[in-house]
Amino acid sequence: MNVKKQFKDGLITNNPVLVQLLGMCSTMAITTSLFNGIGMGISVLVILTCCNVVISAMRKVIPNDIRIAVFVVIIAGFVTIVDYVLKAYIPALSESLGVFIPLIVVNCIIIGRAEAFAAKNSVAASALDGIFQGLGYTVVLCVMCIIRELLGKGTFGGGILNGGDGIALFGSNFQGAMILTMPFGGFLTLGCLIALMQYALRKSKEKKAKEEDK
Amino acid sequence: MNKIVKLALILFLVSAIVAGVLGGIYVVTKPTIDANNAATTAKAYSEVLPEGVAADPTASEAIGETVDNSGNSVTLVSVTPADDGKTYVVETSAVGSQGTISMAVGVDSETGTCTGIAIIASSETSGLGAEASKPFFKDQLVGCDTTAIHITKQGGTVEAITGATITSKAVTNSAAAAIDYVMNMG
Repeated sequence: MNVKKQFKDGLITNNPVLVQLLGMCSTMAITTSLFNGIGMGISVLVILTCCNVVISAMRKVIPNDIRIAVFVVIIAGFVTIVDYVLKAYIPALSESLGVFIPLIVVNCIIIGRAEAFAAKNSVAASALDGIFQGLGYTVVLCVMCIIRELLGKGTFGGGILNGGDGIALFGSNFQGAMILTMPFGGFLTLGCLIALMQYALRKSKEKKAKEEDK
Repeated sequence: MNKIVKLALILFLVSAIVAGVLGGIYVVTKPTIDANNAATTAKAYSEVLPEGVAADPTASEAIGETVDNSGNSVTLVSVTPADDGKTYVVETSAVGSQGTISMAVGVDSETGTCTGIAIIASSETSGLGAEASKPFFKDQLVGCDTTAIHITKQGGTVEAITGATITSKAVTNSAAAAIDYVMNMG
């Protein structure tokens, strides 16, 4: 078990959104205010960690032929639990994320990590994988939210700060590029982020290769 | 054959355990969820009525009638009399640009005007249609009768939200339908 490598994998080198390109749908749809980004990120983190732990613990009992069906049942169970809990205790978040909470069932990050990691590794390693991959997802969501909110509406921290309206950084008359808060803007922002990430990853790889040459 | 039975049994067991756990969570969270929903509705009701007037959402009468108002098909869900004897709260639902918009409309039956609206649930675009719940738009509807309550393009006095004409229309047409219903209630 290599905690440091897992941490780096989840946040950078194998980031679920920017490198594995998983969970695109929710990333595009909900990143319009920081409140949504943090809420969705933490929901996925919790579900991913719970599912990884349970699936990893059961990996020797689940027959190979029906493993996907069993994974889906377990994932759907945890998602529904989170859905009920949010509805009961954080109704504002549940209202704002709407159908995207139940849709975590089909979020490919979760089934992807179950199949690629939890089904082959120990419980502790799977739990860590869930936490770090979830963190990686959350960080990307928050960055997307901050960019889209700032350029689209001129505010920061929508849904949490300043009574839910967010802090207007450019004064209250700022019109903003409305297009960024729409799905089109989501594609644009995500595309730029992926390009940046690939550039940075390649740069660090080249640097490493050069050092090895010496 | 044996293998299939074994697989089915395992899958059944897993599903049964998950279903059991979910049942437990449902029972625990249900009262809180119901209380939240009731609070949302009660808040919407108090928002649409003039100050000092109250209506009890549990005393509402279901209508379930769909009318066509200026191009929007509006479903009148329920009507609740307020305690001042002349104001009514009508719950409506109409199709906006992204999905159904449920709202509460306060209607003064003596003057035939709207006393306020509140959006209970909608899935309109954030920054565009979702602005309909902000005071700059919905306060324009207060005090309007059925002719004035439409957007300016339709001959009314309400300035539509920029970039969200469909939502603006759905909201004003719902409010107009609610006033119509109350005035013709007899």
